[in-house]
Amino acid sequence: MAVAMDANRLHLKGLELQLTATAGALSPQVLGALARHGTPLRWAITACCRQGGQRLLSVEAVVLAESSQAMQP
Amino acid sequence: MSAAPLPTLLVVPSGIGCERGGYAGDALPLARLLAGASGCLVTHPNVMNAASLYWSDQRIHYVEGYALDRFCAAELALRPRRGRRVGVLLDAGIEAQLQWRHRQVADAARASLGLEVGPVVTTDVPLGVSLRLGESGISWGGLEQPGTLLRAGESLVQAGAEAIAVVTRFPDDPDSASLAAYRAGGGVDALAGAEAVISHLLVRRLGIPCAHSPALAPLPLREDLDPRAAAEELGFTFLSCVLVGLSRAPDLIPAAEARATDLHPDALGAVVSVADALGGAGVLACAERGLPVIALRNPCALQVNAAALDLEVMPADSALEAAGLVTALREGLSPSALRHPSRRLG
Repeated sequence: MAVAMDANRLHLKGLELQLTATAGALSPQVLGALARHGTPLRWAITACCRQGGQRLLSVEAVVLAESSQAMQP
Repeated sequence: MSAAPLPTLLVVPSGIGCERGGYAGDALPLARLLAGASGCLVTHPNVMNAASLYWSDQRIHYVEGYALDRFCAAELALRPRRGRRVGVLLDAGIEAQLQWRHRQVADAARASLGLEVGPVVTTDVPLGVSLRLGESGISWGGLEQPGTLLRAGESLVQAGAEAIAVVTRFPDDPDSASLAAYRAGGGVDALAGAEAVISHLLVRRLGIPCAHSPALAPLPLREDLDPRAAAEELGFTFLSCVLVGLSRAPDLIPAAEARATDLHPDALGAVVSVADALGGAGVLACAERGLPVIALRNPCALQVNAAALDLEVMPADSALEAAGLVTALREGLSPSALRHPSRRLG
């Protein structure tokens, strides 16, 4: 499970996304949406409602991202 | 002669205000019950950790949340261990006297429980834990120095640690309304989200069992303390349960490298989780793999239920009903045969 991210450049980002779910498994859809922001560390669907026949998901997450410069303590 | 064990997963998400399991190890009785029903339970530290209190059961596998999600996604298998060396990682932001209290817990675990604990390392700089609530009202959190945390973890592994108990200084806010609500048996555990992020970071990087214990100043006595929160106000630290849990946590093995004696994710036979919180990574992964999901009524801050997610589940109104369903599955009994009236086939 070791990852190639540079620990010195790592930072955490909190996210709250809205996602329109399509038919089929939800996990790949959520992971795909989160991947645009960083590497998912922890996430959950925290709300789900239907609007006009579509299923809208609220997802809260923490993702890992690398800064362009090393983070100095 | 009883049926072979039915490996069962129990997930009670932390930081979402569960009526049972949202406090200080108050889902432990549920875990003990399901361990008896299934013969083999896989669950996470939030369920098993009761600060100064703990329960060691060889039928219960203590698996941190990030690793649990990977197990549910069939990426990891679990290799049981009789014991392992637990290193302790202390946040430099913990004041000296409180650091000593934690070191003494480590000593007590060695002297009185015979656990292998050590070494103890302190981070270069304070880790800077922050707390926040999401839009939904559930607990999240952050860390100013993730690189510092990971470097300290790596140094522990190089020094021989096979698991890491990480202790970070959390902000004290003894007069906050949320803490008062928590101690009275309401609201959300505000620490849980940050705790999960910290342990997830370490497990993801190091591939070994990790669990978190917050370092906080002791609270003044409250006579009307809710019993579910009481375990966290018995001592100076929350570390004892973490050391016990990690001491027998299973190895995390890539599923493709699993041996016959490992617990492979394909062997999972049932999942028990919170009926209104089915949208977490692990439970969703299990549901999407076609595993039976027992949705246990356990009011919380969320309303993400089976109907909302288009999932088929077996509802359970109580822990006892959930245990009955696990027993039925273990014995190969159709739960519908135990409900009245029975429907005709033709």
